[in-house]
Amino acid sequence: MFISVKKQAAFLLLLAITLTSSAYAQKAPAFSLAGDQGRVSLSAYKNKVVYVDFWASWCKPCRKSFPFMNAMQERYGKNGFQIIGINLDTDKKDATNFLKKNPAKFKIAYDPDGKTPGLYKLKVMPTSYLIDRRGNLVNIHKGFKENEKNKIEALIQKTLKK
Amino acid sequence: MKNIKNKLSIATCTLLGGASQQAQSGEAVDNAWDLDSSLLYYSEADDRVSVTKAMAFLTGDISSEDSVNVNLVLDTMSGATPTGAVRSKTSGVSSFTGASGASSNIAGGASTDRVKFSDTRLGIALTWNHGWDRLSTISYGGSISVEKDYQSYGASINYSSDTDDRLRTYTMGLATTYDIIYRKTDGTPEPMSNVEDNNIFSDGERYSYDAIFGISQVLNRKTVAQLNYTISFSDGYHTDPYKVISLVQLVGDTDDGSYTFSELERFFESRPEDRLRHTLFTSMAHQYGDSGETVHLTYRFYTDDWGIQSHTFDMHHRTPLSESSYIEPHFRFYQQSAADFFMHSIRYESVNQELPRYASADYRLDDGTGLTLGLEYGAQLSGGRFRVRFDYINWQYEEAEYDETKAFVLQVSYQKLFD
Amino acid sequence: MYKQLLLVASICTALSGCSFYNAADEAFTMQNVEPWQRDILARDDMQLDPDVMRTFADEHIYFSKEASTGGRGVGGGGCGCN
Repeated sequence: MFISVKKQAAFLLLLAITLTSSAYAQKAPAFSLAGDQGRVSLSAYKNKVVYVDFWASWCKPCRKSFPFMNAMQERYGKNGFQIIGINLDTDKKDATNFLKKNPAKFKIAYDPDGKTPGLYKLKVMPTSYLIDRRGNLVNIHKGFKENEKNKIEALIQKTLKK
Repeated sequence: MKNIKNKLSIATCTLLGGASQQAQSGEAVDNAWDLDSSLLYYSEADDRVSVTKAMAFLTGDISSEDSVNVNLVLDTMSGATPTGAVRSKTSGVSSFTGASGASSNIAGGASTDRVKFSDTRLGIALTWNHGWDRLSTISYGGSISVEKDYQSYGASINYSSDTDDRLRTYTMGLATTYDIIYRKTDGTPEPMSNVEDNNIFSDGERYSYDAIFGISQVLNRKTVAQLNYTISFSDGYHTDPYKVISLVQLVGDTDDGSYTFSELERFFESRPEDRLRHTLFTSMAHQYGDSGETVHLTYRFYTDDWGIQSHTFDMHHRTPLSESSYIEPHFRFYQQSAADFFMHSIRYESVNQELPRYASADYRLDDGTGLTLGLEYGAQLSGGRFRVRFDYINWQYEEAEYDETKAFVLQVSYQKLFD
Repeated sequence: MYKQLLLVASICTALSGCSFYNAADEAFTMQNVEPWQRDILARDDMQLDPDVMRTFADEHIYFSKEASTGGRGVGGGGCGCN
């Protein structure tokens, strides 16, 4: 009787640990969206560190984040780092106009129906999701402020080393 | 972007809740500097008051969490304003000379119902907005306003907080104001004293305290609404040191209305030493139609312990003319009930009649309505935003000696964005 | 006063004539708005106070001519306006 209780407790503990760790190592939801040249799919970037950023033309801090993302792509692209900027404008024209003024040196994907942000439980525009080489979500960064750039870059470096 | 607007909202006596509108649209802090400048001309018919107002509002971020607003206002006022006395039979306006066209001479007992004045006002307001955390902002404000016969010093603190989904914002604000009131050449006249006696007291002082509680809510993709409750208490000198009230006898037939007022004496007006006000303010912005027309509606209910109740309805309707320009008609309706102590004049009863403790013939405390019709044109230029508006205002009062005020407002504004 | 009330009444009638009710229905229906659906709400002309300077000036004008004031917020300064 006592043994069985202990066994059950041990089992539950094990289960809890398994569940927690699996929740911790959460897989980034897959997506496949229209891009400028063909489709942009997360699955195409296996073994790379991927930085998924949700943005829209009407979102001011999104614009502020573009120079930073361009710099990150240029600096770490050779180390297997890829930024995917998922645009959420309902009208693609707005995105195109925005990109003329703010050129992107990373992959752009278009999700005018807003399907992907739901999968990623997006709360704030912009939000970036850092995904490691195994496809696990390692960090979610809400908003964009100039004084947070160093923190994000350090996380990218750390994830690239893993 | 109207980053400045949102921030100024907290800064000035404008809306709370607008402060986090930007948050509601899912954005963080913008680093842009923004300068809005404006020139306004206000003029009343029949050579009454005219005002030229120059304004400059500057907003900028000083860190990722902090921004400041600097507001400068310079008013130049002149004209003639009703004193509260009944209309004199001889002439309309008395003419006073002096460096500033000082109106203090009414203490000398000039038999006029209007008095010329001119003044200049300089107002400075500073606000510091600090991001408390990801969802909330706290703002500290200070303001100074100086005229030749009035000084005002204010301090305020406002807090706003968004819900996690950023669809709702709660706001709370406290403000205190210290006002010093006097006449250009001397202090304040003894309330209800005879103008002839020229009994002058020292400067008047008034302390005011305001608290506001507000909530704003995104209703759907195209609508945002707001509700504010404000309670204000003020203690001290509330009287207008220039206003007077006539002791009159009716001459003529009161039955068929063919009578005139014959002024016997003139007294300085007197208002209560405190005032408690409650205000309920609602506001909404809504967009509709394929061309993106927007409508802004506000309704305000106001009541105070002077017996005044008022309703204000305001509407702006913006229609785009092109991608970068719009036209916007404006409509406003205002209705107020009179203060308990408002009277056109004091009726003569007997030689030893007792004067009321509080009495004012200021038309602004009378039963009345105000109607505004206006039109604005705005255009987005490279690097800035231009707009010009014209408003016509008509106020009508029930009993006051001057029972109508007609005015127009012309305002030209340009907002420069520094990215 | 009655002349003005009449004018108000006629404007309201005109408004109700142009499918005012449909607009009101659309405006007041509550719907969840996801963060990426706030393009319209982010517009300058959709802020609750779209022109702070104009509002500031108007509040000053009406404050100096009417017995009631305030409601939008607290702070700012007073004046001894005629």
